[in-house]
Amino acid sequence: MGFWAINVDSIFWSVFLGVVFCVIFRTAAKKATAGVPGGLQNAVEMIVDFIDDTTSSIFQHTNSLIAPMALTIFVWVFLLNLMDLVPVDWIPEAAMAMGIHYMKVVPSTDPNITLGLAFSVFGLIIFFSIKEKGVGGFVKELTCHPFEVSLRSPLTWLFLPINLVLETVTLIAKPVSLGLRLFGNLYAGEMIFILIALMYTGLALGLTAAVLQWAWAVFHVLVITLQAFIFAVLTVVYLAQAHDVSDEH
Amino acid sequence: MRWALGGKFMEGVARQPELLPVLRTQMFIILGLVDAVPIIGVGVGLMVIFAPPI
Repeated sequence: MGFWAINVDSIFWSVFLGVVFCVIFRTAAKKATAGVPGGLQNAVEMIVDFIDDTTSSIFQHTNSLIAPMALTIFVWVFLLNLMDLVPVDWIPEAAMAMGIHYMKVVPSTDPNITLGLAFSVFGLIIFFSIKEKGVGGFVKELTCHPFEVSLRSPLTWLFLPINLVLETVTLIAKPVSLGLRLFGNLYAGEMIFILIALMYTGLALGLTAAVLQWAWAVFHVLVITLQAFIFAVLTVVYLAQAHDVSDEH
Repeated sequence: MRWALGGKFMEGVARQPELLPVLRTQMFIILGLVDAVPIIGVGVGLMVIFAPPI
């Protein structure tokens, strides 16, 4: 079906995990006490504090959207990636028993999902750039960096198209790299799980495969958290760059 | 690329041990960025071998 295909399984799991995230955090917020915190409140507070520290050290302007969005991106992408640790055929086998013949459980291995997230962030970058600097300021930034163009010397106007090409490449590279980074990491991870499971059959090799799977799963826990964190941090960095009204010349 | 990053990180920590958590966070950020290029390559390669989009 190509470009216009809608992957219902990935969307279902993404929405489901988003709802799980909202339910958990809302429960923790409603039952929050000022006394000694329980387990859930402790964990949620740790995550929120961590994201708050990271965001406030990167984003120096005022915008009440950024920190909650960083929290949402971090926890939601982490939950999406976490589905990769469920053994790869359990849920699809259960789904086949219920009549669904194809189910992809890890939404971040679907490039549609990761690029969708990345291009939403891209839309926000453009929106905040234009909101903070105006359309003129945004275009000026695209055409006057990195080679200076001054109105006084028409010779520098030759730099306008060169600047535009360079800055457009930088601008487009942001969402593409953001989405593809998450997709590449998760897809390679899941593929290695599947390959280890397929390549070792029989008892002796099966035990080797079990050890390998365990080792890769431990490494994958690091990769999951790291990739979710990188996505969130880069989002905040790009939005901070969008808010930067630089007036050095 | 990753060995150079790790080496610089340990050098920095040896100079100023109190900056360990800060430097560690920054190292992970840069590590993730640098690691993206080869991992995207591996991902696309595996995709082309096993599930090629025709």
